Amino acid sequence: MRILLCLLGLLGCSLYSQNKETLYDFTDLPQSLMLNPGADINFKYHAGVPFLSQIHFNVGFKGASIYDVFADDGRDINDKIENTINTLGSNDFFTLTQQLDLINFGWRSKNDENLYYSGGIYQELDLIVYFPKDFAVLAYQGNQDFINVPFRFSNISATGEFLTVYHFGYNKKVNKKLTFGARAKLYSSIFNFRSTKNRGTFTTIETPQGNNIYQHLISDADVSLQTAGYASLRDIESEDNSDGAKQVLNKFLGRAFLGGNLGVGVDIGFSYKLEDQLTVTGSMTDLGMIFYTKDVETYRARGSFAFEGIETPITDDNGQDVLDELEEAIPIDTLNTSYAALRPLKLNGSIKYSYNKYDDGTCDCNDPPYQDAFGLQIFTQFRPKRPQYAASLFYYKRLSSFLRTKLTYTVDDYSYKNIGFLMSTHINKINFYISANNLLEYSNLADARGVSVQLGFNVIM
Amino acid sequence: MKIKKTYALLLFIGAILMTASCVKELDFEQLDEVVLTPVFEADFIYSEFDIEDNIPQGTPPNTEFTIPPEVLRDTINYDLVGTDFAIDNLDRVELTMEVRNTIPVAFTIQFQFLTQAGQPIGQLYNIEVLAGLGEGTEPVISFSDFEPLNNATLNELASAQKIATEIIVPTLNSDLRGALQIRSKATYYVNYQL
Repeated sequence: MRILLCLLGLLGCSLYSQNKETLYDFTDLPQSLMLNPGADINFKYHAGVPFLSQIHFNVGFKGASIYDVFADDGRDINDKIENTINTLGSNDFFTLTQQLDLINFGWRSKNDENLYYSGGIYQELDLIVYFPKDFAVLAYQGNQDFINVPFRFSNISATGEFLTVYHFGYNKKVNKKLTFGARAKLYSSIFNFRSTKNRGTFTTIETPQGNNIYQHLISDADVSLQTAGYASLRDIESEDNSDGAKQVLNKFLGRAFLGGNLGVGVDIGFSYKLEDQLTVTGSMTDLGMIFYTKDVETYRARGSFAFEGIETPITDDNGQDVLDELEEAIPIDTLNTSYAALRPLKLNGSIKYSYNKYDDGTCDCNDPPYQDAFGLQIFTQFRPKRPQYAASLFYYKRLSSFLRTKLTYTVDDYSYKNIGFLMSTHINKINFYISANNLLEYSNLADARGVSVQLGFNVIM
Repeated sequence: MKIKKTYALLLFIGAILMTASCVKELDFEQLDEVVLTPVFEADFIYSEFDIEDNIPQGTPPNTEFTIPPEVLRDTINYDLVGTDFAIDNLDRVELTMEVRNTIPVAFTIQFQFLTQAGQPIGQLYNIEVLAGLGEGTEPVISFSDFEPLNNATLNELASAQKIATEIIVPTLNSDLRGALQIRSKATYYVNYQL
């Protein structure tokens, strides 16, 4: 049980964005090309072990941890929930990110040895749900202590995407100093939902001079939920077929193989040697959008409504069917309008100083690698409410031709003590790597705001 | 040899990770103890009775008159206390009435829960409204003094679907002026166990 919980914690309590600070610019691994297509790599070819070349799974909470609520510490759970609700803000969120490389391969051009091609397919699940603070407070505490305080619909913000990505890129050593790369991506969406940019408020206003003691006011509400890929699944459920699960799976597979809503995007990146030992890199990944035209259903409620109680005597002018009046004032429309959504753009950058060039004779290369390097990395990911930022200091150590490592210290919105470590073994052509961050939190994963684990197998030449 | 050493190191680090990492005592069974206890304030009924609007046409000055009872009675649909949710998850409901009176006459306001068929259920609620000081003066405010509807009362009112209200008006004089304003709210004390 303990091991199971440890594993669940290891897999479950991880980071909050797609920052892979240990993998970025780790040019011993072909996966670094997925973070910067312009990484300065030196492979002749690589092939990821299908389904195993990159496994990446994160669940994260910003603002609270599982331990804050479920700790077996003798305190009343209701007090802990209330404290947690009070601590969390509307910019805190829950994320779930999972990636699985299905195929990953690459080869150096026979015509131009400065050119390296790579491609593959990966599956991704990306979910972010912001904490709807105002409505959590309303549900947990009611409105009695919040008279004249607006509950904002803008607190409701969430997006979710389940998709496969087909990609092909090239990496070119332009000259001794500059390596440039780009990757084209074709997104095949399996399922999408998003509810962002909601607005309006619900307020209970005290009205000493009004018709009644209060006025309950929904003001300028505009709340929508866009879905793509949901309506047809719902129809399957309603048909109550015994093979419903099979039908869902078939639909998912069809959409995964370009049968769903499609989108396009690019990654671009570079590495530039300012001096022989000093390198700067930069990349922009997932600059693209998906066009949702099939199986689209959007639910939208717009309007304003004021309720002051029921006026007596009842007349033809003042009815008492409050819910009917509410539905009339704020109708919920179901639309089938196509929409497009940007992918969450990610920016990476780094500066690295390398030293301790050492040739032990095992390197089959013209330019023996440096054994050590240190530097600074920055990361940004655009999210519905605001970008997320992170900055990392790192130290790279090539312990031997078999074993290369990287240690990172990251500061981000959530933690000032995030230590990460990557270890990559290269035994003949077989490569195995494993990476984890937030190592200091391992003494209690339940209290961790984030831990990330990535691992994979490659054949590299 | 080097390969063996590397694997040994990997195994060692993996073992360290597995043993050093742990999840301190968590108790997910605490979920059974989660109780939501929000308190919601919501408007109830409101009404305004202006005496001038109710003086029968052609009534001479300083003449006594009465208002037909049906004008001052009303029945509204109100089945909130009779729903399963209310019975299962409401600790209590407090009804508060505030009556502002500028008519220099005392009134009584009554209300009563009814079944769908119109049968009275539960107690009859009365509010004694103090006499006002006349038109143009600050209204005299009277408040209800109802016992909260506790869970036992809510159970008793399970079949309530309507509320009947009535303003008991004494004989009035056509020279009287002023208005009676009724404002009310209900406070719902929820106790919802997950």
